[in-house]
Amino acid sequence: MDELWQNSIERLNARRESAKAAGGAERIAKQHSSGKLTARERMEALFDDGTFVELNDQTMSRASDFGMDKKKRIGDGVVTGYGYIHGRVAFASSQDFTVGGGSLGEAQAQRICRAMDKAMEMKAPFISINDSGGARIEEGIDSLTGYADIFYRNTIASGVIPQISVIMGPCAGGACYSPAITDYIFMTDYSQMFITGPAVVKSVTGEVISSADLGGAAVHGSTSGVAHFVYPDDLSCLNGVRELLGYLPQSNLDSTLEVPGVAVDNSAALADIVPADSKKAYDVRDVINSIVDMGSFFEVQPLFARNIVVGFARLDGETIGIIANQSLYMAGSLEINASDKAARFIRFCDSFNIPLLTLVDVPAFLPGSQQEHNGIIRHGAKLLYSYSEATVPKISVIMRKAYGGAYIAMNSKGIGADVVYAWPVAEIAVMGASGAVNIIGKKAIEAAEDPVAKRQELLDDYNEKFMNPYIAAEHGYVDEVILPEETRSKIATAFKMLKTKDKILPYKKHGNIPL
Amino acid sequence: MEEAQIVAMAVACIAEENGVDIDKVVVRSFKKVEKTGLEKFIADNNISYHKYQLGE
Repeated sequence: MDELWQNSIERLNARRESAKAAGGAERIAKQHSSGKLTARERMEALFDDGTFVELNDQTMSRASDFGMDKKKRIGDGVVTGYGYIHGRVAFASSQDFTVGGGSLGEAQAQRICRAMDKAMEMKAPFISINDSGGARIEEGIDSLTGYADIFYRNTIASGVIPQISVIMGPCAGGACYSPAITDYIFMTDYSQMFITGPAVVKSVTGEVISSADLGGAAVHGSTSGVAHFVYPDDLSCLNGVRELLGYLPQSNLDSTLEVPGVAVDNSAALADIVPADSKKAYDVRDVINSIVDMGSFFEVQPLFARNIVVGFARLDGETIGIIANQSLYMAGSLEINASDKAARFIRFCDSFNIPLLTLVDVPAFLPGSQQEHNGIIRHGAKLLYSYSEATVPKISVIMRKAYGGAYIAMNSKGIGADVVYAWPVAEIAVMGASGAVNIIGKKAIEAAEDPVAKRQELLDDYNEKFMNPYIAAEHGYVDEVILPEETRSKIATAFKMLKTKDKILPYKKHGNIPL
Repeated sequence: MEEAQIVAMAVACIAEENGVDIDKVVVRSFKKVEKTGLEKFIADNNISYHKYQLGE
């Protein structure tokens, strides 16, 4: 090897080392001491062992103003590349907080965009790990344009490839909108997301609030609904991403993986789990776990809008999406947050060809001025719209209550359910007996010699006539009244039949879902 | 164990697997595979970690 070769190799090795050194040992130690992994360590944890391949590792900022000529580093504060997750290719970016606080400038944005473009070309998932102080002020408008380039790509890729955002540090200002556009947001306990931080909030409104209380993981996982999953640390969080991806296809043109599991049919337990008395509550997750492959239920947004449960599971090894009213909270009624939560989940499943199972036990849309004034009409409409628009196989099981508009909204026959089952204790009606008798029997009760006896007579009559699944079955709104112990086998058989479902909606640029 | 011994054992294993006479194997160069950053972090901090695998 001559000297020229030797020099060239040494130069390349030095540049590689410089990229790997990131922000230096001191900053890496600080990152570790705060319980956080470095950008590259996160890639290692995300991908199957030894499969991560870095792209554009020599990226460097072109900026020189405000001392950038001295501050810039090879890699520009982000690591991008591809690797394999469960043997399938995926692309990712991981912001490096040790380099300039992970701030996003022109070159970093370009690097991220190139990886996103590759993910789209390869029809593979894109995972964005966020740990950044925000826009790189020294790069001015080029930094903001970098965000715009990412948001644009997020939007175009939506519904084509699964996009997952992982927040593992600060994510503030405009930077929040990339995660917000993606399909799922994972947060670690020590991460934060907010449009304006506590200092700005205080100066503008006078409100004093901590970062965690303003935009911490606990807040976004339970109150705002911004985060879908919250984990205590980086490693468990990235394991969560791997677990989620196991349920998803690579793209809207792909199918999900078949994962043979333990197909134990616990439907026989359902009559013990669900009280026949529709006023008594139970945990609908016990119902779900009795139906699906053992241990396969993966709940999405478990702490937000807890009156509805959504998540992925496997039935005979194949992914399904589940939407279920949760009687433990608000008696399972639908309100604004539950409608939004379920509608978004349904649309995700429909985008990626994941069949839907709906478990119905719903008394109503939640009444009250708070709901009305905050727009339950337009939010509830999202749920109806999403079910109506979804062309994937859709099966419903009406377990107990299915009243009024909420009955319609929970994947009823009229809005496109392919198969509707009902248990013998199901009550499918405009409203519960008590409310109905108060309205339709008002005059009769008032005119009666014994109003109490008359009311009871009308209640008995209403219960006999309407509080059962048979009128709906007679009229074709329920395909079959089934025993609880038949539930899994009926659902599995129906999904098998529906596998070749090929429904095409009329051509349109896109619908106009009430947002 | 000495580095040379480790290399000799590795060469012997590979030669045996491939049915090659070990006396005819010449090691021209070798590269030590160091622990990755993540492996070091996990080891240094005594973290109990198992990477999630499909179907678990």
